[in-house]
Amino acid sequence: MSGLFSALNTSAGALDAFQRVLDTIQSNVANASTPGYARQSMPLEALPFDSSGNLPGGVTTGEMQSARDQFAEQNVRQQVSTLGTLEQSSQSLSNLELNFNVSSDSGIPGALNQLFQNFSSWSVTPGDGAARQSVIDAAQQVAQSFQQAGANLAKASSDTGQQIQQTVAQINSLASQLQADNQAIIQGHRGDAGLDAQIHATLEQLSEFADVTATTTPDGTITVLLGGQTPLVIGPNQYNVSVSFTTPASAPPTVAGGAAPARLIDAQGSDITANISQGQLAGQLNFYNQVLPSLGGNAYQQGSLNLMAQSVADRINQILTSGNISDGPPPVPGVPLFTYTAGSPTSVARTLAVSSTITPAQLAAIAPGPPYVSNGTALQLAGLASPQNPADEISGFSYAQFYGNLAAGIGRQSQDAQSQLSVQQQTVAQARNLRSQSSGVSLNDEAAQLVQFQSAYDANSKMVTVLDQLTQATINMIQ
Amino acid sequence: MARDKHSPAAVVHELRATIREARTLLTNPTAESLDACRMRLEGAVEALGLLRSSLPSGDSSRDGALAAHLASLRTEIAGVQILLDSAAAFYSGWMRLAASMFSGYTANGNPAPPETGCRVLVEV
Repeated sequence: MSGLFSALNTSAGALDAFQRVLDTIQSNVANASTPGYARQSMPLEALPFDSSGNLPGGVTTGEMQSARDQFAEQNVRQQVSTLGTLEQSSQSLSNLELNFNVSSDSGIPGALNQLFQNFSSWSVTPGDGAARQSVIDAAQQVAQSFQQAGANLAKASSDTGQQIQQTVAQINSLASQLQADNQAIIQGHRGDAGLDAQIHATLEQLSEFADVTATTTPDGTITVLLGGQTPLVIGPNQYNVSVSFTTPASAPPTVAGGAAPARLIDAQGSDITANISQGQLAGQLNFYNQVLPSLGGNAYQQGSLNLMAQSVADRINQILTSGNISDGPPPVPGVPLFTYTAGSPTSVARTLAVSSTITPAQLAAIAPGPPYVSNGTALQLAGLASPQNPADEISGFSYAQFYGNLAAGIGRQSQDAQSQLSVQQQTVAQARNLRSQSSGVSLNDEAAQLVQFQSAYDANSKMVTVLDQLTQATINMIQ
Repeated sequence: MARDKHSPAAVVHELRATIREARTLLTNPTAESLDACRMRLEGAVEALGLLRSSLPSGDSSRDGALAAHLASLRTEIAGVQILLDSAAAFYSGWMRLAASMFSGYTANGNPAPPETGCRVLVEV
């Protein structure tokens, strides 16, 4: 009877082993589309067999093995991070591009064109009240166009600041999930395929926001570094990052009233902004700290738009105040046309306005000279459209050219980002395909294995049934 | 109006379609798709060579629209290059890992380089 029980035990053991293999295959098939899942395999190991001794042989299962390839995983994460940067840049720049029209019929260039044409008409009939009123109306359009562009930049800055805060909150939230997963591993869930899938799906999600590197420690927990060097999760510990909108003590502001940059701060209080080069967060930080300030200014620069608004307003005011409204006696000097908040270089565009006290009669058309010219200042103002004098230019460019360069620069950056985005989407697809070749679940392979193991399982099951019936019959015989 | 299929614009249009196919193939850079990609690139090189020889030389060859199409084609080709580079970076990294895992280490402790086959250089 001992031989029979031994055979029964061996068959039952084999059945148990095959059942585990089938469970693994079923899990692979069921999770083929689960984010982060990697194919698992359950190796079968032979048990010692000795017909003369007490070793009945048979089969058992080894330790569950994962087909996950960390090299392929890190490759996917890197490409996803780059995609995140480009998606963010592309979206931010295309929104910005809409606010900087290069057409000479609308926006700032359209309003400036109109103003210069009205200066020209006024110079022909300097005493005409309607021509003077048209100049003031056109100047109001110029002011409104700058205000609108300035307000749009301020809104873009505010929106991006909020996006940065949300992204940082999402990074901390995902890090918190990874910390919890690490705790589960420490508590004995190491090797759990579901947990492993969850961790890798979270890591991939995290890589959309910032460049992260993940390494598996000998105890099975995941160490996650942000930007290659800032700890985010180590074992059961999480290190939160935060965002600060303050100027660092090491770089005091150089422009009065300018907004502070956004700085990413690690758990120890160090500024790690420079380490973040990829992911949506990098795109947002670049847009907030570099792109927008180059136009609207911040604590370190005035911004091209403010520079242009100030140059236009100052030059027109200078020409008008150098002229006379009437010959007198005594002669009445001209008054400024434009006003803006003094002492705040980064808010010139937003606060540019036509003087509330100026009337059409106060526009100074007379250039006292010598030589005296009755429409001299009006002619000089009309000449701003095609400047001959460096004082009428910004860095060697006419106002229209300066604005054209500014708008074209945004357009170029936006186009570059769009073009790179298209290729990067394919690069991510490529990285995912390469990963799935090495660690993904192939339904064909799984189906073939399933058939193979199903046949083995059926054969063993029949044998157990026969053995069970035989055993029962034997028991019945001896009772 | 139907476009002459032999016109330079039509040829460039075809070339862009071919390059896009190559890009799509490279999203799954298996040996087969790399081979199929190579064939498309060879076809593109030939078509581009024929196009070049069919264009008049000197000032009469100036065609702003065609130049713009060709600039777009270059962008597409740059995309192919990026995808090829990224696949190559993956495989070379993978081979380094394989070398350290299977070929042991060199006498000075560095991973032994894996034995590689011949290299194929495609010039576009």
